[in-house]
Amino acid sequence: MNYQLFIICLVIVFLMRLIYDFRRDRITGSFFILLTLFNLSLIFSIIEINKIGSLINNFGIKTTSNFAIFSLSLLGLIASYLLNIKLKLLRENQIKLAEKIGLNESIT
Amino acid sequence: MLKDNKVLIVIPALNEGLSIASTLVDVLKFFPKSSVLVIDDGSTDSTLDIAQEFGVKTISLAFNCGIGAVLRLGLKYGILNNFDHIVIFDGDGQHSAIDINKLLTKSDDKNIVVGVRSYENYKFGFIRKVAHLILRRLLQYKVNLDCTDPTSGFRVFSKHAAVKVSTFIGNSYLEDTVLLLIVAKKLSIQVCEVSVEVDRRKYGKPSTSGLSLILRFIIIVLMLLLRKDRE
Repeated sequence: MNYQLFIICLVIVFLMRLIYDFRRDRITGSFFILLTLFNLSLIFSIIEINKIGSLINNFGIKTTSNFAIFSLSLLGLIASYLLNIKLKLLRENQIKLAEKIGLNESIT
Repeated sequence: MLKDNKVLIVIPALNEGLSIASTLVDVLKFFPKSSVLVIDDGSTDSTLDIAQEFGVKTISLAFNCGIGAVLRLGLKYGILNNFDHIVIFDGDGQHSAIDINKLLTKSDDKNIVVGVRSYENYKFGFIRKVAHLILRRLLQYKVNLDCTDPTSGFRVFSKHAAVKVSTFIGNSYLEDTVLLLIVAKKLSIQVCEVSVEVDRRKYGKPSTSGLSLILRFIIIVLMLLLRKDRE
């Protein structure tokens, strides 16, 4: 299997997982969208596209710039997705705690 | 007419220091014997102090938890203290407390009554009108519910409805209104509408506006289209 096919399969699996989690309310859309936009814009605007290929070639990995950018975007996307799940969990626990404290204080 | 002592009026407030006093004066004028609960959603101004000066019950959240969390807390408080009807009344002074009676008259022991803001007395912007129309149509498509004003926060929950929906309310803006209607419909809770007067907000800022409002709208539309509703 070549790299391109592997990455395409990874994207499909990732997107399916994303829809699955979104349907079950496991991710908060706003954080995720913002992080994804930030991640993609960072990669496409700051880094000089043509130099990426040669930079990676220096490490002994033979690849094209486009493929490298695609892989980096995908990694960033997965990272922001995982971070989003953690953030959502953390925020929900905080809110539950705040609600409990508020309710207890209203009783006492 | 319902007995005042069976009604809880919940006023969610976030940085409403300039309007909370007039809102409370209005509410206490028409409902002097009702229980009023102000839930301060992590305000950084004097909202909580002003509310406490009126001698009403207050709950202060440690930080800004979002309108959904405030609504959930208000409903839980009402259930725990055995109120028959829980009114959610905005703290920004846009509504008139006299309309609470209109909603209570329509409220029975099992339904949710929504206060509908009419386009005639409240000038919605074009984008807001379109957004309302999209949400309304999506509600019709998803659960066959025709709600004229799906984003109105002015509502009365019967105790029965509050018990059923309170655990399904999400934390964020629009989850407390639009998605809640879907949950109510799925749980076979009747949703009624009553037309209410509304004024433009005089002081303070909405809790969600600008870019975050647009993002929330996109997410809610996606949720309505994609989400598997929790049973």
